[in-house]
Amino acid sequence: MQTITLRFAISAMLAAIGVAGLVIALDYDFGTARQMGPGYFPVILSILLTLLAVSEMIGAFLKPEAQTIDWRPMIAILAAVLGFGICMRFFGMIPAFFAVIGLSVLSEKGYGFVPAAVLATVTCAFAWLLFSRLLGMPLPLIRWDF
Amino acid sequence: MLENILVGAATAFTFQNLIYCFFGVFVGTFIGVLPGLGSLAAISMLLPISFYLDPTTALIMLAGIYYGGEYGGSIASILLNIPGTPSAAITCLDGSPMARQGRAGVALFITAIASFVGGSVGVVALMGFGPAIARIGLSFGPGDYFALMLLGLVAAVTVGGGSVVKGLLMVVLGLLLGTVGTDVTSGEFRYTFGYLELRDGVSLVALAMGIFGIAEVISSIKDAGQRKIREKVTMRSMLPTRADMARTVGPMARGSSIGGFLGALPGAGTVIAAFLAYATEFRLARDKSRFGNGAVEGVAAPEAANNAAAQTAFIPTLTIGIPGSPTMSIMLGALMIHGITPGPLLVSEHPTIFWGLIVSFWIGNLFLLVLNIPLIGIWVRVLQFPYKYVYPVVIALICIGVFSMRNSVFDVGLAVIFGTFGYLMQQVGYSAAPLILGFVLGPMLEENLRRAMLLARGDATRLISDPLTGSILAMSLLLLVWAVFGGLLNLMRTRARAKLPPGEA
Amino acid sequence: MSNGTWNVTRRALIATAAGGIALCSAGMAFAQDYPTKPVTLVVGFPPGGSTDIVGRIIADNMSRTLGQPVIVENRPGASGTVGIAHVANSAPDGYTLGVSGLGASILVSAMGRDTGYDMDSQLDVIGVMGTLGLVIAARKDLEQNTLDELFAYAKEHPGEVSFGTSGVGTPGHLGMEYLLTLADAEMLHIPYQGSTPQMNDALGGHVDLVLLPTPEGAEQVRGGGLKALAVTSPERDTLLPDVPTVSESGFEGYTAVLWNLLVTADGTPADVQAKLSEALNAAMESEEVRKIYAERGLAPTLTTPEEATAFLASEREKWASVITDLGISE
Repeated sequence: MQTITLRFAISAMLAAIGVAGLVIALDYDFGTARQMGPGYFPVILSILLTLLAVSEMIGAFLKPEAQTIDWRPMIAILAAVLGFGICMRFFGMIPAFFAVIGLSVLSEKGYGFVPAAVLATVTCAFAWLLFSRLLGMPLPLIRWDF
Repeated sequence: MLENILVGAATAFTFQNLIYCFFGVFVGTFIGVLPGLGSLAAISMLLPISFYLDPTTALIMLAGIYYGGEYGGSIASILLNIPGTPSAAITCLDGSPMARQGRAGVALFITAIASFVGGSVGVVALMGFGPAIARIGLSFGPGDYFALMLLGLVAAVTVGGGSVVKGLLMVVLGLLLGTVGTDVTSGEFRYTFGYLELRDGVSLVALAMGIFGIAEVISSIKDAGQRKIREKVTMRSMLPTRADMARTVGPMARGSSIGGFLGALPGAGTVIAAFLAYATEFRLARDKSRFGNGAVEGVAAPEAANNAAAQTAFIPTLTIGIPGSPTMSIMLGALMIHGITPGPLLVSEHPTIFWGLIVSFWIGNLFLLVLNIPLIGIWVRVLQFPYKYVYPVVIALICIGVFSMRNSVFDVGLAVIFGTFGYLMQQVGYSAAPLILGFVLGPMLEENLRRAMLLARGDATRLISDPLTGSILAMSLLLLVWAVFGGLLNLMRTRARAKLPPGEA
Repeated sequence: MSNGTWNVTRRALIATAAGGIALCSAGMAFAQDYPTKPVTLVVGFPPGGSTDIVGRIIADNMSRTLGQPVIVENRPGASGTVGIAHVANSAPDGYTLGVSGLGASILVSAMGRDTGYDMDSQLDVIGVMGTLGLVIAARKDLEQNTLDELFAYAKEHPGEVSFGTSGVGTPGHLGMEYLLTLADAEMLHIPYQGSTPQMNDALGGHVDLVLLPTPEGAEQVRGGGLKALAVTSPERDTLLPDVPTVSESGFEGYTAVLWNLLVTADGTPADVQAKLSEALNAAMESEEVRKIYAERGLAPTLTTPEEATAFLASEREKWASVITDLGISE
């Protein structure tokens, strides 16, 4: 029997966030119930989050259910969004759109180069029309900015 | 009154204003459908146009984009399970299951009707009782806002069939995320980790698109291959059955009232309106198990509510000059560009602007209905499109939407983090909707409680003894007791049933 | 401004040349040809706010003088510092300008907080984009009608009167605290997020006083929801001619005004700066800007870059000492 399930791991991660939040929040002035400081809410919320997460951990431990992660689409999609951000910062909108579409199609095996390229081109043209022409957003199409 | 409406009609029915109204609702619907892009982005971008337009015309167009966007947002919720705008998040809960059952057309049709009903109720409220509602709004002090936000939270936790611990956990996580940024009361930075970009808090769009949009796309790719919905798009499959319609009358009426009222409170907004409307229907329903599995009430109520709220949000904005949301600030900006400072005298000094705008709202809602009923057929075909061609575009749109909100690459990075998180959470059965509500309500809840305590000089009894605050707090308590009691009763019933040997039941 | 002129000019030359090529313009490109492509004006606040409106009105007017579109780009966040940080780190070619208010120029850093840039070494000031006063307004049923009466009451009842501002460390908050030290009185500060929610609470009678930008405040006063006790500008405001200034009410010399500076990255060629300064002043003198400014309660200002830099220095001195006196810096 697998004891460390995904649910357990995620509950543990949430508990860790709660603890980290608490540690950071202890630096903020807690105040009193009458005059609450900036730390009042974060401390209470962090403790609550930790307790709830721990109870979930126990639940997950007692009743393990198998859940899986689809690593391939997850990594591909996250890389696509990240790629968009990086390209948008340095190279402009057109490279950013090619990056996001080019990377996101990697989430499936054998997507094919042609459909991906067509999709990227069409999306670019559409985005240019909508954002640059119609809405007049100040988005650089192509640039080289380091 | 009639005279005023005539003045408004004379303004709204000019050729130019009708064209701009149509343009506004058309662009709004379209932008609203695109995940990640909300009406706020479109309105910000189009604000400069108002330089070259008459202020009334400019407002008619911008307002059209706004309420058009509220409508369009739910289309994406139903079709893709990704809210086009944050206030459409709750529509995912039942809209998306309906689509999976092949009832996307029906869901869209009900959305159109509910939006129209909600919008119309909102317009009537604006027309008939604008100033009166505005005065009620003013009487809401910090304590009352706190109580109201608490009610919203209690409603969020008690909604939904899933695990209570999980729901509560998501709400708390949302509340905690909401504390990121500058603490209003003390001016101190919390959880900003030295980033300038975090001082104003986490971007709602980055959060919503991360945990809803990106997470949903990742988890849908897996079954993209099997997902071949060959739904025949006939007029019949689009039309709700008589039973559907009968079920939605009550929810629409209640949703419109809730939305109409909350929309008029500055700061409360469409998200809370939609959540509370949904929670109300859930509480009132006999068979709660239908919720989350494609209940038409779960679509009708929030849609009526957010569209009613979108209209009544103009009450404080125009009758007292207090914009309740960033979108409303831009509306006022369009007036300020023309040197008109919004305030309590706007209605009497610029009657053509006020009444022209109101009449245009109604025309705009009519346009939306006429525009969208025929479009349902086209939207439903989006589902028949192979998902493999849809998701890359959706991801691209999410990216540009998140980026354009603040012209910020940082926010795109945040969306990656929230996307990872959202996907993992979704895999183990956490629902993103309570997190969003916690995030939206949290800052207001904290700020108002602390402000109320300051004003009450630290005396909590003064807070509770206020009739308005007290009664709203009592309502939250009642709701909580009702939910807990109801839950226990259900549990006992199932236990009792389970104990009975078969055949004796 | 004067350091490394040659170097800077060369950089600007390359930049303008690149712009020129992109636009397929024939011939040589010099900084004198500036601008050869659209100019971006960064506003550190969301669209529709008062800073944004000022930016848009000036941008629209400058477009016509410069012969190239001046496009407003909103990069909101952290009291405007996110936007100004972007300007500070952009190429010093005059194609990225910024609107820098009191907060981004002075207050945030004076409170000991990181802004992501150094105002003096990383930015050049082109000119002042007008000033705006605040109005000290009270809920309509407050017993006191003048500052005198109010402070007399507050002295006897310390902490009883509450005043709302648009946040900790904002001009309204600092201006009021400063006034309170001058009057030797104590009141309860209630911070809000921006100026509109406090307006709501003052209209509803939940807080006693609020500090609002004059145009919004004047509208509420005209509508009868609030009453004005004083304005913080050096002279009486055209929107509220009957309301005395704080200076008149027994605090001689007291002023607290909001303003915006037009800024660009340090090292922008002097001739480009001169051109921008000319365009800004032309906008300030134009009929159209004057009209909207008057309606919005803004006082137009005509400044050379040197005068504007001196203005920034004098304002910094004043606010820095207020912040030190109040002991609210980190």
